[in-house]
Amino acid sequence: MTTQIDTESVAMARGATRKAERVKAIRVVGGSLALLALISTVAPLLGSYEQHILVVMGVYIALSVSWNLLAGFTGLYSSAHPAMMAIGAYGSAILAVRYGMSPWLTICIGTLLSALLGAVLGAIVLRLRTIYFILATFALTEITRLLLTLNVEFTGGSLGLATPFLFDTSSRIPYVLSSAILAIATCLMVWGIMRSSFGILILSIREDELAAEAMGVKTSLLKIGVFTVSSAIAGLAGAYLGHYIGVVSPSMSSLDTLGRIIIMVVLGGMGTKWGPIIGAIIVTGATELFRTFENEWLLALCLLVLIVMRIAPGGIVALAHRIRPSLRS
Amino acid sequence: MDFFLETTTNGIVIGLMYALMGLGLAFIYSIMRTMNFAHGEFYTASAFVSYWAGEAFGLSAIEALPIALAGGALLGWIIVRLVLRPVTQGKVERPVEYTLITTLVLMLLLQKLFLLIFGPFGHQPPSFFGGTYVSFGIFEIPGERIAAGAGALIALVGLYLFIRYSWLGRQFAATAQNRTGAEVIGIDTARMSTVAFVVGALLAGVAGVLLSPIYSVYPTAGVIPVIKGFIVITLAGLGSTIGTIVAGILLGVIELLGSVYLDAGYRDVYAFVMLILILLVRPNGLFGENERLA
Repeated sequence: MTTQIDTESVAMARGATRKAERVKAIRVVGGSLALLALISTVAPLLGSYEQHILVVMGVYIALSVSWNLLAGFTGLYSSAHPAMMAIGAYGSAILAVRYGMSPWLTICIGTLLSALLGAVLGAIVLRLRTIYFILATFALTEITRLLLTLNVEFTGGSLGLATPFLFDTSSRIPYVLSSAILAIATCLMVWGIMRSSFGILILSIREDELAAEAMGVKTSLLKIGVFTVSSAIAGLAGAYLGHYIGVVSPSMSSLDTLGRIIIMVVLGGMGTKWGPIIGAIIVTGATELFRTFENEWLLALCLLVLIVMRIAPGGIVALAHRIRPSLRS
Repeated sequence: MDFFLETTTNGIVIGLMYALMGLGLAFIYSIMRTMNFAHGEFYTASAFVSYWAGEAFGLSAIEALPIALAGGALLGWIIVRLVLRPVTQGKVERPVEYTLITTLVLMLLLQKLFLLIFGPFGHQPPSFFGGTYVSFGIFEIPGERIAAGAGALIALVGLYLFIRYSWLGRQFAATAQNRTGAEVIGIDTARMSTVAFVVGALLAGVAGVLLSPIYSVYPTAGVIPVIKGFIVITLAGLGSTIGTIVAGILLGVIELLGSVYLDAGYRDVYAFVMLILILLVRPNGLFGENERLA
């Protein structure tokens, strides 16, 4: 199942020649700018509901791409992603509400807080064997939710905490643009990491950690690094989401959130460049469309993921490769 | 003093339930080397079936029990035969990760299914003991908890007899001990995965049917018990049966004493902090053995 994806990602990490590299970089940056320009021209034409969907989509792209960096590329199936998201969100919300700081500043602080806690907690839990690592990160997500629920005077308890909005206007266009920037920046960062020499080292951890270590790869340091980066992205996305919706609640750090992220990544294609992005777009778009019967839709989605795991473990991206082998991502 | 005894007895009863959850997870691990994240849904499913049997047919708790357990066991069989088939057949490169994703998604699926069928509110399955209290001289205990403790003990004894004396149980133990050796003497090891799941579902179902008259059952009722099960097997270290029972009781007693003498709201937080601390000091659990990596 992985061979096809491996060659692709190794090629992605190794890169071709210098010149081709520079051309590619220009193309990627140009493409991102063109996409942003396209979004900024199209967004005002859409209704405010469609704009809302776009904002949520951007946030979930950032979340699923960063989880894919952990699970898909490094092989660390962390369940702590919702916890990191909630830590960033609450760090930012509490500073903004209790100390009256500007949301722009507090989002930065929240992101740093998530990165810091990601580094510290990562250093602890990454020592564990796969199965215990999953259990311990699972526990982190639940502890975070419980602590946020219990410290009522500080976090507002299970009702959540009302946060100031990022922009003063009632228009959603600045949010659409900023969330697009968040998503694109995350993708570029993760792709950049995977193209650099770190990319090969990270993949070597996924393929055979023991062998990589024997070859002199500093696996524990790299794993902590990856965990920190993805925690920071999760914290940033969480903090941003909080200041967009205007409320943060402990349910952010729940298995539901984790399940949603996993569904997006698996459906799109785990360990691929485009998979998590495609998955996030399809799942958020469809979830918002089927808002009225959300439970039935989520049920169908879970069923779909189980089927995908059985018949097409590589998700949509692998299916596309199978249909058109010439398609390079 | 009587208050202390009462709390401790309650703790032991709850601890036995945690042990039932943990044992099921440990059994599944001993055969398949993976973790079942949807284990709590066996607890919920059995409790819901018991509630449904009581509502629809007016059955008493004892009469509903076999139906409820059969429902849970059927669910276990479906999961292992349909969802985890690639793992039992050894066709998956990374069984732990595959099971994590499939069982976690399955957990969400079942929770949504329960939500659609039974609604978001708590239901009370038929009770075993009514609301009466049983007096032990210096302290008294709700009869419901006595029934729960007794039921858990019966389940544990039954499990012991099954593993020790039935052919299927001995095949199971042999497979857990040495998979290759078991295959050499002609044991169908793939079938043992099914046995592990059905036994695990039965144990979790017993806990669900016994506990939900006290705590009531709702779609996400299984989440806390399964997490307690994780903590128990981590405490015990995967692979030790007696250790799992001891760890379960220990966790139940510590939790209740902590919530009575410290702060009740933080009851679940103690358990999680304990889990992380144990993993820090002993990455393979308290009674666990070191495993070869390569």
